[in-house]
Amino acid sequence: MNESCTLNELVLYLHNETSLLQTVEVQNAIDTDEEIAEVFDDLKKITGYITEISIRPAGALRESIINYARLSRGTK
Amino acid sequence: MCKLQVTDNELVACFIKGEESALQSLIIRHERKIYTSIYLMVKDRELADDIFQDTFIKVINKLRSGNYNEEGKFLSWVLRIAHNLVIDYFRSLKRMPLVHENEEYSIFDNLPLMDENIEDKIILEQVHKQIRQLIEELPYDQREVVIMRHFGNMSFKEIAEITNVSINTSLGRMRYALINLRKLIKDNAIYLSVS
Repeated sequence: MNESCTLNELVLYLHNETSLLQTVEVQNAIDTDEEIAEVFDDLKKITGYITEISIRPAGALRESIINYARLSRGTK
Repeated sequence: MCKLQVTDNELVACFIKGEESALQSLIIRHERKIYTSIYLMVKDRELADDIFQDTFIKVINKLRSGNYNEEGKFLSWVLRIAHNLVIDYFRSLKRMPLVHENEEYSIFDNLPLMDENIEDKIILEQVHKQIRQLIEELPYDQREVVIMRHFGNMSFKEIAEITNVSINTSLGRMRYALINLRKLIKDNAIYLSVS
């Protein structure tokens, strides 16, 4: 990783939290440095997978919450 | 009558007025992110079930008592409640996992190898399972940031405020988490085909 782009900046860029200036600098680093481009590509894939691993809770949980909401209506 | 395709805040308003179906819509809309966040923090399905229910009981009570003014941040608000309940749970057990970034931890030898000759769908499910296992094995501080950023859609600034650290620390934790995951994925020859 060269001085033109730190890992922190790359992580911020990955999460769309860079300033306009940082965005230009990081994008330039990705375009011109193969090592940075490779790291960025890997991190992008990893974060893509993170959001895909979600688990749905059992439907009964939702039912019991709704039942609580019904039964407790007016008691608060 | 409130419609289904409305904003979170409109559904919250409907629920406060007495329409339980609005709460159901909110739960259906966000349950995967909330439940997964809790599960990844506690790593136990039964405990995750309990905390998920307790979270929504608090949500219901807070909404009815007028303690919601988040304006468009319903999911983040619920995840903060869930996060606090998880912290309370660990404190009650006095076994809050306090593993820090600089400490050595042995997560590198805890991954099954993948069969390369199974069908795409099964491979994808396996990869998801492996990634989930890797995240579960991250130090708590790093896991927490990954969960809040990717499931709670919170900014690093918001995460820093909730976890009482600086923005640089929360950003650093995410950096460690992603670099650790990258190393583990490479070490274990997990092929990530989706960018």
